[in-house]
Amino acid sequence: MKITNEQIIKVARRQRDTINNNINVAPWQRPKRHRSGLAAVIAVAACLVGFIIGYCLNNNGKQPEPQSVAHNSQVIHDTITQTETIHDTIYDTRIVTKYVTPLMAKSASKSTTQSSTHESQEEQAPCAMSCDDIPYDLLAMP
Amino acid sequence: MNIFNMRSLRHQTDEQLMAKAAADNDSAFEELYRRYARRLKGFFYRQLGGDENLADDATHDVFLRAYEARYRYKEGGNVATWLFTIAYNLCRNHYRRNAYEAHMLASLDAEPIMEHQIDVELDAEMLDQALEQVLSELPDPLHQIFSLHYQEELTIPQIAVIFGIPEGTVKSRLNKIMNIIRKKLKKYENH
Repeated sequence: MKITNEQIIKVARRQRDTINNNINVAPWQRPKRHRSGLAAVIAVAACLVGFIIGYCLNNNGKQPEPQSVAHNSQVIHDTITQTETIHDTIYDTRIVTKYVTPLMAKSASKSTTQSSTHESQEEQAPCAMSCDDIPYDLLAMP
Repeated sequence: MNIFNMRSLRHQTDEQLMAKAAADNDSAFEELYRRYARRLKGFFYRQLGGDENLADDATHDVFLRAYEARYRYKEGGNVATWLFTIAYNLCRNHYRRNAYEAHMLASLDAEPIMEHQIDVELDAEMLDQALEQVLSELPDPLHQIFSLHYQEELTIPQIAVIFGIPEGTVKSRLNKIMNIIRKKLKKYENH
């Protein structure tokens, strides 16, 4: 018999149906959503929170900054007294007292230091005069 | 899954289902799978040399791609065309004969359309066997066009979209493919 296009199409569709009816189709399985992105975001957030907590704790544990020395120095600072025994001659011995302003005061406040230095010089001056300006002859006298 | 929900989904069009799937309704996508999985697997089975495992993988791949791209689905777009476009591209990737295909299709398009059909005389049983053989021998792009139009019953405009060619080219190719098939069937006349 003569073959028409319709017959070819009919046979092709029958073959399609035969194949389609004999194959098994697995049920649809929804792909699992990727959670790696979410995990990364959580990890970054956790790191950030950890850093902030650590920073706060560290800040609280720190010792308070020492207060300005200059401020303290204006309140109380004693002059250091140094006593020195000097042998001018074999027979004569004298004791020299020196007043030294502490170094802290000097570095803390310029004005305070200057005044302290000035005072110590003033205080030392009479001593220096009394000891250094004594004529040697007088000292040498028995 | 809620049986009432499933029943209501069965009355909806492919496009309505796809729009719902795009709104994260997994039941709607499952219904689309139920409608198309067998058709697509059959298409792949015929196109990929009758390998059922390969056809299974390819079918799963189509739906996986469609699922991932569901948000990009444009409302009103033809779902069958969309799914078969993915399937066609997968077949092309599988064979990787694009250069050969392009050359063969260009030479086919250059051939003039025959005015008359080649007469073939075969009995029904012989036609069944011979056609199966002839279709399996057809070059892939020709087999795909034949299969999509005559077996999957997609329209010429749908095939034009899938192949990215004008409708007129689809018509002329279908005409030429039918003549190639008739020519090949003629060999079986005297068997």
